[in-house]
Amino acid sequence: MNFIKILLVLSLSLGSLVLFSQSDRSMIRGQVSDTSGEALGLASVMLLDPSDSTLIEYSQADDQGKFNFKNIERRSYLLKINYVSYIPYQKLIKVAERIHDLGNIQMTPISKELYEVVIKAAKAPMLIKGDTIEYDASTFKVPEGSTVEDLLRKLPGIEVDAQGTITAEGKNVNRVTVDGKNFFGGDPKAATKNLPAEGISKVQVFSDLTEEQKITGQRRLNSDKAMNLELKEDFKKGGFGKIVAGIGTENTQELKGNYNKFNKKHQFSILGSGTTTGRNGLSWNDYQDFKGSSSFNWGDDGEFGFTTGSNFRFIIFDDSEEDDASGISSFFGSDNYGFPKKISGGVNYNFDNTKTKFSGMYFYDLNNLNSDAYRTQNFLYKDNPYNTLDTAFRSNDKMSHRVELRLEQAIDSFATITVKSNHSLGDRETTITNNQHNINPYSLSKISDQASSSGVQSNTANSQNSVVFRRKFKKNGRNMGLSASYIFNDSERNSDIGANNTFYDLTMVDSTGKLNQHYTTDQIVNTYKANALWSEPLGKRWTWRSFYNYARSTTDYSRLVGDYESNQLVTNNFLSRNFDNTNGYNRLGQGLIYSNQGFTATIAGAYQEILLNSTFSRLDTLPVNSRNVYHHWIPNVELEYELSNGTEATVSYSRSVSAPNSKDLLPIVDNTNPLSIRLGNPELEPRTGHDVSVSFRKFNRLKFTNLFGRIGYTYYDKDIIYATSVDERRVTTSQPVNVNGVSSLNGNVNFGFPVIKNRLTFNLGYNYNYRKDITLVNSIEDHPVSTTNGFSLRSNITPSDNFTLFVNANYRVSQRDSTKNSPVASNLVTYGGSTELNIKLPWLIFFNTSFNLNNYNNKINNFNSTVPILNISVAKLFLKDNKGEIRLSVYDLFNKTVGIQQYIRSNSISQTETLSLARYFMLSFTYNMRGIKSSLDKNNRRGMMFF
Amino acid sequence: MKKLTARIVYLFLLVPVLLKSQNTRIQYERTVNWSKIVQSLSFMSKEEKDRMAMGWGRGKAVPDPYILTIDSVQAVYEIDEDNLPRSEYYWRREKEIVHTQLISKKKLDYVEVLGKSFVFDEDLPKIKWKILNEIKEVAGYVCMKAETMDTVRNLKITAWFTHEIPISLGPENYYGLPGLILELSKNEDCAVITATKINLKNWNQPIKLPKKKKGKKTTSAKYNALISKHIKESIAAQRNPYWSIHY
Repeated sequence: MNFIKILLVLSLSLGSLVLFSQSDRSMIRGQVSDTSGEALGLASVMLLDPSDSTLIEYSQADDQGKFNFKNIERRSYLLKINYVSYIPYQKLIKVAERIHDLGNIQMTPISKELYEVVIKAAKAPMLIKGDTIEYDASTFKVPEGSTVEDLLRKLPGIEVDAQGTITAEGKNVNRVTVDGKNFFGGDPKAATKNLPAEGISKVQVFSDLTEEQKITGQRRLNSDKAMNLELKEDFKKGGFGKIVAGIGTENTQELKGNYNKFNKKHQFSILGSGTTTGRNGLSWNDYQDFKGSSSFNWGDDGEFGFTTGSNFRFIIFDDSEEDDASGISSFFGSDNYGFPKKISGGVNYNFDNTKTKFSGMYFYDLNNLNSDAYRTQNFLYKDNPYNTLDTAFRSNDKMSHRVELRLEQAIDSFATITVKSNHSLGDRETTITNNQHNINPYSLSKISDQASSSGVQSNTANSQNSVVFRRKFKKNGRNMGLSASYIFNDSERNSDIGANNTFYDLTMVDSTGKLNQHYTTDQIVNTYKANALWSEPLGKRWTWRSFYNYARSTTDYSRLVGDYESNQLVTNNFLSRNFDNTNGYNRLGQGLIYSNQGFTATIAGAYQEILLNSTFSRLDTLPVNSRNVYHHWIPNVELEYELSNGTEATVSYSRSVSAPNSKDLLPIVDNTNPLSIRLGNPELEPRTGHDVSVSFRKFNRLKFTNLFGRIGYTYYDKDIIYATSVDERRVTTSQPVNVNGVSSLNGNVNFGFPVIKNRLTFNLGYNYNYRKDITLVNSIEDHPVSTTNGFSLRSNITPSDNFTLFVNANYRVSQRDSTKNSPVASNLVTYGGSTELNIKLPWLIFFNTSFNLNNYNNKINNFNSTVPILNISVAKLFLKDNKGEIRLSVYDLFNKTVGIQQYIRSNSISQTETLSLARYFMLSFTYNMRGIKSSLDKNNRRGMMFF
Repeated sequence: MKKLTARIVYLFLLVPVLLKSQNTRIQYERTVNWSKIVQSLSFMSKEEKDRMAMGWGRGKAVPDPYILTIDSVQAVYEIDEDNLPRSEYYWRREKEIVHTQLISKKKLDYVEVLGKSFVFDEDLPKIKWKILNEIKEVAGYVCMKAETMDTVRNLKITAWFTHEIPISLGPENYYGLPGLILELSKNEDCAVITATKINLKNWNQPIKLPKKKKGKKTTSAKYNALISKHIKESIAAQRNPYWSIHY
């Protein structure tokens, strides 16, 4: 008991003032009681500074309500006394004498109705102004969808009768305003019956004065009341939008616009964009503005694995012929080489409240890309090497409709169910005209030519549906998850292929010189998946995790080939075929996770079974079957450590397994392309590898330096490669086989540091790649080694808020050693740099220029190309709040744009040049309802999510 | 009224029932509204702020549990490890232990910040409070409003303290009011710390003190200068300073 007294005395004096000398000191005393004279024992008494209410001294009354302050300065004080369920008492006192006796102080109780309703039920803060009390209406809970009238019924002192007539403090309310403005002619019922209660922040009731009374100042005692409803801030903001329009030389145009309308629960947005430049299409920011609160939803696929929420996949079934299942985010933020035309747009709606989240979206995309590309490939075989030159004109028209629906419903505070349903319909038309020359690299004589043209028309329909159920339990850390999904995929293709092959070696007779065929292919894939997860805490630091994955996928594929013979289509039995595949897996995984203070260790393992069943039939032969079942143990170990000084380190080991392509397993010969014949291999086993990685990261948040490094090593104890043989005509025959010993190592290290904080920073990077392949060409086994060394330097120079300069430089060498089969070593060198300069000038004028220079070098075919690109633009902000911007830009002033890609593969090296839209001038105008940013970005982040 | 008297009498008379149970402890929940914090960053445009508020800013923030334990001579405020929502992975949290000596009025805090560890051993700095005319209920207690400024972060601090528990303490480094602070709001609810459970039993059962930790000795003045500098530099670099320090 004494402890408490000590504690109280001690803690109460924490706020006391330093003592002054005794002489000019006073004592204050008094007694607190209620209006009936009953003592208010233990009331709290404070002395405040009257000028700003600063707390100077406090004390507590005794059981009889008596209190005193000894030894206090002689001055004015604001005396404040507080007691539960009484209106806080407040009085200005001037202490001049040695003992200032306040006598008996009476406190007024807060009316029971107000106290119970406002404080206890609504938990609303009460503001005390003298003897009257105001409170915030927004904290009064009314059911969703309630009107203001329902809210008013809850407020103490206000009554609403059956007809909707309002009385406040017994007086009639004859006028209702919203934010001080008349609402529907001021009819009180129109406002209170129609407005949603959730939009109201405050209810103010005051005496209604007529104009005459306001002028004369005369006040009728029995005047009516008026009521003002103050709207919440976020209900006022109706929406925002942006439009960008540009027109330029070379027939370039850009038009982009979006508009969002939202309140606390609903978000509605529309978006449209059309461009012929490939630049300034839709950015990641546009995506976020469009999708709003449904931009990011992780873990929706419910494919539970070794780690929380990750959709780590053991197996990818790769039988689909169309590359088209990704979500709409793939429409945002890509630049194409060539000459793109693009129109896209859609609508999105989100609904959010505490229990339900719904979002629905429709998106349309039309994309046309024309390109001219030149490709050189050097096949560096010891026997029969050759070079291939391609000149291709490609025209690609894509159109798609997409609908995405998602509902996340909290069943109670423990369980959530998420239902997702995405659908898309797509059309694509591609025409390619290609001229190919195969040349002997030594004699430079022609081996063969191929002139081909193809027209492909395809339709696809996709539907992905999933349900994920997650449940937490009372036991902290226990979790379960169940999920099921159904994916449907249908693609139909009609194509015409015409080719003319000419072989220049006259000793060879060639029967497949001419080709004129029609292909009709249809593929239907049905996939069913089910997953389960249980996570159980074991003590404070350990968790046991158990999961099960199931998948079944059936593919029906048919291809009907006809030869055009004097305008008649004759079925080609040799090339027409059907595949029926049934693939699937079962996987049971267990893991033990230890986690404590930034240290996490995972030891886990899974046992899995993969089933691959395939039936192949041709019109002229009997069906061929393959049936393969594989079993694997998959261990997974991970250690993560995070230290208090901002250092993180990770070590991980895992085993990877990927199943072979079903078509590779069938004992068949595929000679669809007479120059490239493929054989199946029923003995083929999955590709399995060991992956080890170590990473390290250190941030010094005080000095703004960072260091990051990572090394990854993979060893394939069973890889799948294609054993190839090349004959004199350079016809290649390939067959998948398993080999042991392919490995790769890659590492990178990055160091960033400021030279002058916030003015000059550098970032240095180095990366290294090593890969040892195995190739089998004409039965000779080779182990080609390829390495890449890359260096990069980045510097941000930001001396003031009105000047930023970003400089990047990079240098990369890729090389491949010579081998038995490919006696010529090859190397590719790429280097480049970029600078970006932004200057903010007076009168809201902005100057921006960027210069990129890239050099591509390939010694084998004496390729050396330097591409310098200079862009300059000047912009001026105008209109109120900088809502308008006018910009004049020139892109690629030197007219040098060309797309260049270079690759080294195990036996070949290739480079492609694609003609692209180059120099153009453009004048553009932007109107942004939220204003355009008038400061420069210092981090060169271009819409990335760092803030 | 009778209820209050009863409560305080209970506090004085019945408290020393020595049970082998929990100490006097007040559990708090700290909720940070990141999208609201971003709204106050001067280098972000209106469009960028709205994008954030419309996007992930609509998600529900998960509060962190904190606990204030008090005995007759000292008090400790720290993260409540036992009530942390359990997940399989814990990232490392920077430790901030507020340790107050009530008799000698000493601040003995241990703080990890910006990759460094600090220990304090100094007189409790005085906080200048303004008392306002507003009352509301928090965790069953009627509280009065008081305000002060966090001059380092330039935040308005609103405290709701209750006369019903006459202990001059509160969450984080806030104290010095004529009652326990049950709710603290920083910069109009950018961060809110609210008491959820209050157990006033067992005053004389000594609290468990944090293990002695190594750190550089510092003072509030030096520490505040370091934080001020970091905030200034981060803003100049157009980064949110509160990713790396406590709001």
